Amino acid sequence: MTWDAASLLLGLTQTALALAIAPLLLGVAKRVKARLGYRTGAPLLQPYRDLAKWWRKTPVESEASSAVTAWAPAAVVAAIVTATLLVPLVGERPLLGGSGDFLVVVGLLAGARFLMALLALDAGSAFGGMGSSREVAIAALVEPALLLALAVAAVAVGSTDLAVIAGAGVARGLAWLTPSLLLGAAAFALAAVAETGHEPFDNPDTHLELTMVHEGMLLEASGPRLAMLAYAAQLRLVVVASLFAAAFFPFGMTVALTPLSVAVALAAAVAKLLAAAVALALLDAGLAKLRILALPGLLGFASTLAVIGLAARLWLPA
Amino acid sequence: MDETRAGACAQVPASGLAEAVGRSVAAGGRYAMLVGLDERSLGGAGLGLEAVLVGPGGDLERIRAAVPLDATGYPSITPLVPAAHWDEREARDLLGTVPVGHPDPRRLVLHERWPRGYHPLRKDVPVGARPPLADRRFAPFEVHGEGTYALPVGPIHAGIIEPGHFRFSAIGERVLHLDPRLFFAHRGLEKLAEGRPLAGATPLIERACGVCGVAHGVAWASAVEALTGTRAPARAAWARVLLAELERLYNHVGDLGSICAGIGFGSGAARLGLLRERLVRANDALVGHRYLAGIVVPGGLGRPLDAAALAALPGLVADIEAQVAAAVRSIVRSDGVMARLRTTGAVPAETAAALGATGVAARASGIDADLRRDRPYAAYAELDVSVATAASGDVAARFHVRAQEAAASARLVVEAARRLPVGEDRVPLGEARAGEVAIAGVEGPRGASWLWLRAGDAGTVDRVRLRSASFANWPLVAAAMPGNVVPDFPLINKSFELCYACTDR
Repeated sequence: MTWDAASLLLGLTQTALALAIAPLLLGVAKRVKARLGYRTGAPLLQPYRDLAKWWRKTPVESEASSAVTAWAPAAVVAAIVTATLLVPLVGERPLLGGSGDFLVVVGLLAGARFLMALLALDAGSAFGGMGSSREVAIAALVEPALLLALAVAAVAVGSTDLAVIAGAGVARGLAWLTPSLLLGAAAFALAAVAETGHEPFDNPDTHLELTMVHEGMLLEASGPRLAMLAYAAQLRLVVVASLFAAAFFPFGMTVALTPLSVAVALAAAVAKLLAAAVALALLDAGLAKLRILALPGLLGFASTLAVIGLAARLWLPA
Repeated sequence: MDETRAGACAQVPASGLAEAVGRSVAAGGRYAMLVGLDERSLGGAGLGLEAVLVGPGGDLERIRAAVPLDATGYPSITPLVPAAHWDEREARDLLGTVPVGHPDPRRLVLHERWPRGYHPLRKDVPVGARPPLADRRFAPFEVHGEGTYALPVGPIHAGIIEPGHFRFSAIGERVLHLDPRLFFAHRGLEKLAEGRPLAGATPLIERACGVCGVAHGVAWASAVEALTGTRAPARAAWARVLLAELERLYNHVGDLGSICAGIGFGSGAARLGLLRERLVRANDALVGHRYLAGIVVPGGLGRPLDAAALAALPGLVADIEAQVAAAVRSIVRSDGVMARLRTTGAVPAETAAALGATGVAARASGIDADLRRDRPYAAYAELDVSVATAASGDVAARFHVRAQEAAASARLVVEAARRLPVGEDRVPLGEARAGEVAIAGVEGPRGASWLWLRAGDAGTVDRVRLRSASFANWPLVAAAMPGNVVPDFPLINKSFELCYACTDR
């Protein structure tokens, strides 16, 4: 694949947007939740300040930790940043477009999660083990649901390449939203809530250690390591929301590289990401968490939706 | 206040204490508390234990036994009356009365670093003494077997809450056993009160904890008034009802919100949290303290109620009652919320009764008891106190009982404000005779708080014991947990919403 200057610039812009906006999405989500709880809420830029603050601090580690504690946070960030480079957002061609399809993206998310679980176990505290055991149990059901949901879009174009999928979606317009694709979108949305750790699966704001899933894995992290893990979680939302947008709602993405279409595409990308953050905040505020033993049922439902979408695509006339 | 001055006390030998308490319970008596005593301050030879029970007709029964100073002890009450288990362990730690045959002889109040044989409530230990630290380690409760693991939580928590250590033994997410370890906030308040003038010890008892201050304050004031032959003015009696119901109301509204927070239901928690905040601000306007401290004192009221705030109170409370009811209705309509509350943390009626549960925790398991109705104090005899109960004993039952009690409290606030007589706030206290005992029971937000008080020389405190409702209910939290999943503990815990500070004292 060759790069001309314009598409290279677009790829760089898109990557910069994804990397820079991640903490803002958390700030927006927190603000929405605060307002719904009759509170003023922290400034929208607070997550950036938190990251800067943690970055300056000296990490404290448990006596039981091994080298994993030192290198895993950077590896987690690297995996998620790499995933960012593979998902179309503003334009259909991300910087590493063509080097990996959505299987690679979901694999990178899963790899980051594996490293997180390893890291959480490494400190030897009960909460880390508890959090990672829950996270891995949920992930085992989320990943198939995500892949099945994306498969609905892949079958529609005959390719797992996200650029091809997004390009087809933009080209076909609203005709892209076939019933089977909508089923896939619903399945993905449900699994994405679990993937990003929001209610009814997990409560990202809780201080109740015993109920924690993802936060339980972060309890022992501190300093720059905490900053990296927190940033990775923020960026994971960007990757998952971009995946959803690329596969099921690519409208607004630019194909032509005119200044106007790029501006529209940038605005559309920002709007989609903000919409995802607000939607998750609404779920957090409005829902109660499910009992942990009931989570597999809901995730099984997500997979079932995706399978019905696939079946509809494969056996019914398109 | 004659009902508060303790009546006759049956004397039994130490060897017969357990049997006597067991007989009383078998005859329909309800175990209230056990008080450990050092009789040497009043010319006695050794230690003593006094069991207090509420008879079927609501009268108090007192059974006392002399216990030797050495470690020979007495036959434990717990095998016959399980509700005595923590009381006996506390008296053993603080005074050295050894319950022989107690099924759980581990330390309770004094953790391992307190030296062996050191009993701070004994009269020969001076107030403020600092014993050398012993070199011993906490031996946690353990469950062994394939796949079991221990999960230690606290005493430092991720949230800003009181200190408690909870050790879960679990298989996967399923809890096999919960061993709570409290008394990190033991300040020796009862010891500190000894030797102080009766009127001067009020803040120690009232502020044993922040959110039960009126309940403890009313119990303390009633006991001191009984010992000093003082009759609090009618205005104070009605004001105590008003304040006690305001305390119950803000606690219950806050606790309903905490149940929502326990399942991550942010909107319910925020809605009820806001209403609770309006209530504590109304408290502040009425008495100058958000948590109603310093207002209930022996002899009457510590300061006058603010007239403007009092006039505004009925309208405000009626409005909040309507909003709480609306919030509760919307919560009950949510299937996602109710699915989490139903069947979670169920305590059968037999367990609740055996462990001596009280308050919402008891009534949600079908025990129809409320001291406001059963042993009226202040002006409750003139009020119709409806007692809400439920049968299932789970979190949902405690939620419903609490919601009904909040509504009833709001109506009592309005009625007490309307009927509050005009008159003096406070009368001077009379003289107390050394050695006399008063016992007061008050139905606080978390249930019955019992206070046992004996006067010393020259109007001082000889011995006071505050058996808070939380102290009685903590063992229930542990009993509610097995069979539930680990992440349901915060929810179950919040459905009881017990205090640590007034348990630890």
